[in-house]
Amino acid sequence: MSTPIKEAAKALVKVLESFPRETLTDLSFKETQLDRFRPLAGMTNPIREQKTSIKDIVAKVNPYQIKELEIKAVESSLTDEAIAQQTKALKNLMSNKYRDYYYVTDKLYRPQGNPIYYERLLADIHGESKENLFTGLKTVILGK
Amino acid sequence: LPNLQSPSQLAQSSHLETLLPTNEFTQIKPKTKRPLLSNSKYEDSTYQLPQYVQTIGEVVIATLRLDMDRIRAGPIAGSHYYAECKTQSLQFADEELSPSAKFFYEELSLPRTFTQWFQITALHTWILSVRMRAMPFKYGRNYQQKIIDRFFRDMELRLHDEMNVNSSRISDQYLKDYNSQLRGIVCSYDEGFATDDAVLATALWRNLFNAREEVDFVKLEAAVKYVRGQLYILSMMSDREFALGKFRFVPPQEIVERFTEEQIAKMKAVAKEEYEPKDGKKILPSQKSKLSYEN
Repeated sequence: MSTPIKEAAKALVKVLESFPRETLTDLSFKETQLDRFRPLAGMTNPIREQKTSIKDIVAKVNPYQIKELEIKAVESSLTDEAIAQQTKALKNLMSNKYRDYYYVTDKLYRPQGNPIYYERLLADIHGESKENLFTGLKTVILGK
Repeated sequence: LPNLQSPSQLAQSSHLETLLPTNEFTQIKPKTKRPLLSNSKYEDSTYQLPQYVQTIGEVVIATLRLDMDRIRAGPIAGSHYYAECKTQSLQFADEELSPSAKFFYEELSLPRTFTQWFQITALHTWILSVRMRAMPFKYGRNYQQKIIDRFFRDMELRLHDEMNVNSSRISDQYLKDYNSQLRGIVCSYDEGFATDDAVLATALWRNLFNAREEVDFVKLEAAVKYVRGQLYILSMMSDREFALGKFRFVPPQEIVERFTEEQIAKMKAVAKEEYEPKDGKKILPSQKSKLSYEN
């Protein structure tokens, strides 16, 4: 494999490694993309146990599940220039370029109808404070 | 200056090429197309209520002191805003794509399927629901409820009429699937919205891009830019303007720039001019609202 591509891929892998890991699901952008670019950077992917995912189980049980189309990138277009551009896109995302430029103020972050909505959601996702039966019931009945 | 390109230009600037397979079984080729909203004459864009009916209506609203903010949720969120979300990515196999649909299907390389249409429409209803959350609770929640109810009713009809799903057992199964997907969508987009761009990008990857392995990060970035830009415009609108249906999604081909102080002041002045009660200015009972036009 040619060296410029390898170097570009290495830089990309480095940025990907600092990407946040998903908290909500096992389906990880970071892991999937690292697996995709490590071989290009001349690194080997760690060996993982093959687990049956929920998706596989659902596909077996539900024959009417909607079939997905497989969408591929054209391999020849993955040049060092293209990889550098991909890295730049990731860096833009990591630097919160758009969140900060399109800053929406507390009008949306602490919404009038439910000011602690996002706080509660994030606390629950990050496991800082779990909702209990009482608060859960209250949310279901009152809507907030 | 982080903002010289529109989301559409950004997506097209990628050097990476993506192959989009077509599958004739997933194409949307209905024998008869459904109307955008319904066959009801009241939802026809050209329909005008007769003058005498209007007059009676205004009298009824005034005497019964009906809460128009509550009543308006149906026609504005359930009809007007839902149509706005639906048309962003509506497409049929034998028709040319609209400019906004071009952005999603061609520039972001998403497959032209029914499920993809659901994903894109769900993204737009979520964008609106973020703004609805910032309205006073009882009104905002009502708006959210109306748009989601309409979304699922429309999907049920589209599955039956346009996707030829004739068994109600199967279409119910699909709808249940979509419903549980929607819960995940709302939760993960909310998380991304409240934290950072990277988290929002992974949420978009999991849902909009269907967790596709060979995704193009430039296109992902374009999607984040598109979403943040829409939310920014929404945050600039007052409750009253939004609740009266004045919002339109900014086409992806256009650049959203930050407003200057003067522009913000000017927008507030225009809203004040239009909605502030003044002597000699009559507001019809049906146009009355308790929502703020200053926030």
